[in-house]
Amino acid sequence: MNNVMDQFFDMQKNMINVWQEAFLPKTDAKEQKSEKMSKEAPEDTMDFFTKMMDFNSKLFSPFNDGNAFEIFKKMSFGTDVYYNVYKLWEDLNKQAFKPEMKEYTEMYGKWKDEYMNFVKQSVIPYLPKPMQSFVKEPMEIMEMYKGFVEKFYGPWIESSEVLKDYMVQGTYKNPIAYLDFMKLWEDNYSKSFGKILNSPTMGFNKEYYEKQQESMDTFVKYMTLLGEFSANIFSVAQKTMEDILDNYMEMQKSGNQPKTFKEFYEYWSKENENAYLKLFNTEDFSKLFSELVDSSMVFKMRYDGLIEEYLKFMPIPTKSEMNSLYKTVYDLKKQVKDARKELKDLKEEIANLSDVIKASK
Amino acid sequence: MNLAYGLDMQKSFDEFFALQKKMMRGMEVLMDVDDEGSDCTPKELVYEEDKMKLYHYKPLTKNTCKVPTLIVYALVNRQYMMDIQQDKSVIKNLLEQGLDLYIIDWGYPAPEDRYLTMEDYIEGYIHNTVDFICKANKVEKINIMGVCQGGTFSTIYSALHPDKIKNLVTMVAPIDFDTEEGLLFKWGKNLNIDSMVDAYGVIPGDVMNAGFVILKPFQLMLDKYITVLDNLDDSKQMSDFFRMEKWIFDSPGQAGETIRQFVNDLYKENKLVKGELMIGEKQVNLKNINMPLLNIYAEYDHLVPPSASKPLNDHIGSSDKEMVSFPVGHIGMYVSSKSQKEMAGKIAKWIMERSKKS
Repeated sequence: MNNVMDQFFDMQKNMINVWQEAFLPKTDAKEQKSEKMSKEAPEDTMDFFTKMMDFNSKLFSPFNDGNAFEIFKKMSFGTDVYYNVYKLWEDLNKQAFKPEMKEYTEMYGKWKDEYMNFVKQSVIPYLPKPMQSFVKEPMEIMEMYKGFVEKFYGPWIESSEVLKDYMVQGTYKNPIAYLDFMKLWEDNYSKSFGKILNSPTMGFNKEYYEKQQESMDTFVKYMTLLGEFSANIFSVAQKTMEDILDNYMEMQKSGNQPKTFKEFYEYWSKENENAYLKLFNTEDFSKLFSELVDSSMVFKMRYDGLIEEYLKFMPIPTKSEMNSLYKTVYDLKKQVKDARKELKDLKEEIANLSDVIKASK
Repeated sequence: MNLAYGLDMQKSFDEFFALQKKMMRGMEVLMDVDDEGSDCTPKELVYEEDKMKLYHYKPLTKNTCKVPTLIVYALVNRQYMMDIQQDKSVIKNLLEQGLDLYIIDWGYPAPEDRYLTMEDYIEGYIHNTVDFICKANKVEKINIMGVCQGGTFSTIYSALHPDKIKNLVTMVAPIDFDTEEGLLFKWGKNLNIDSMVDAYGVIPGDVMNAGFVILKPFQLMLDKYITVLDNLDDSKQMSDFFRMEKWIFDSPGQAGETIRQFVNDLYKENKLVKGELMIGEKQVNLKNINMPLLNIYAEYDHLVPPSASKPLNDHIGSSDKEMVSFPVGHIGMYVSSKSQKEMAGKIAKWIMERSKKS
């Protein structure tokens, strides 16, 4: 067993040594050795690396002015391109295609009103009296249904363009726009689906349905806050990375930049830690964090309640039932402790009294 | 120097390969790493009540201090931080200086402990423990040393029962919660602890730990594990690291009603220094603390900032009060070599001098 492990470790060490041989500059002795091995091999692998970097810099200079940080910058802002393409298509769509949604809705409304008038004026009066209500009433019901649907989906329809824009902006351009998306989405939700999930139910399974709806509602609210929280965290990460690159460029001009991977990691890590501490120390973040924790707890409670509802008919105790038992045990234990203490004090008092009586005799 | 993107590639590769070698050697070290050795100073179980256990340390000197000292640790971590390993043991150091030490181990609260209150901990467990030690040693008063949240509890106990306490020592103890320093204090003011307690009953240790590591996310979730790579081939350092890691994540849950009151009355309303804190039916008045006080705080403490510990000296009634600080963080107070000998020496000397007085 030991031999196998030793062999394994030797193999790993040899592998590292080979890597080292390949990349580190050669000492004289090693150089001679490598010359023997191949006369065509580069004199020094680091020289080879440097030459390769120079070659690459020259090759790509037309695209990036030979500056690596320009590439990073272009990469980080590159996603703007996606947003601009989206805007271009959006504008093109608005300019080129008619009718737009607004005009289409108006046109449809006008056509529908006229059709209804036609039915009212030219069809219904010619029907036999008892038949008229079979046409008239469904028309009114249809009108009411349409009104309800428009009211229910109204906030979503009205804000669909803005929502779409926030979403694309948040994805490709600026994470903060995602916060606006979440706020608007939550507002629409609370005016429409949220109201349904919070409305009372009826019937045999009333409690079960209410708990199910409540847990769905609290989950949506939790996810909304989680989205807002994540967008905050992500926007700091993005801003800090941009700042790090800018500062690194400045430091490089004066030669004060971190010189190794390790030094760069330490610099990157410290800058990020400071940026997050700055965010964490704001009152807004503190409130958002506690809202997030609170919403996750409310969801947990509602979900636990729902699980208990599922388990109601099973022969196992639920958490609520156990809590009731724990409370009883806690209260009883407290009473026992108090009684025991009282008894002990009384015993001591009696012992003291009997000592006094004995002494007085 | 071969610079690419401003980086010295040769030096970077040197570091990279050195790290690779360390990691290879580290694999052998990790196979035999020893994380045992905490909580090893000899002690004896002398009293227990529910999940709480009271231990008495075996003296390490012939003439021990006549007044025993009770150490009260926080509820959020285990008390063996004070005895993390023999060469970094605050307990061992204090025993070697001649103190007679008792320590409370709070244990791990289970779901049935959700209803335990601050009153149960302070007027129940601590009070019964103090009575036990007094009786066992035939003394009227003992010394009490409270650490972190245990320091807050010890302070409250001393205010409620000044007749039982000879000397009070507080270490990194939060007293004045109305401070803008320290994220816990900032976040604590907005935190809805009621929903957490209602949801969990006993708040799991992992939830508490998640809250602690997010206070310094890069340092505690990333940096710590990157930095440890530098010591991967050092078995002593790795053992020390794993011992600490084990302790950090050995976190008991928090009894719901206790943490509810702790956050609402202290973090949010700062009732202790305002003289409005109620423990059961008793009002806590810090002016009742008339025994000598040694208040120790860590200068770079991110969990309990100095501004939360220092004001204790201004609120108590004692004339003999002293404040000492060390240039370390919260945990460094117990494990750093800077504070180890110096701090234990200071505490022991201070207690011994005052324990002689009648």
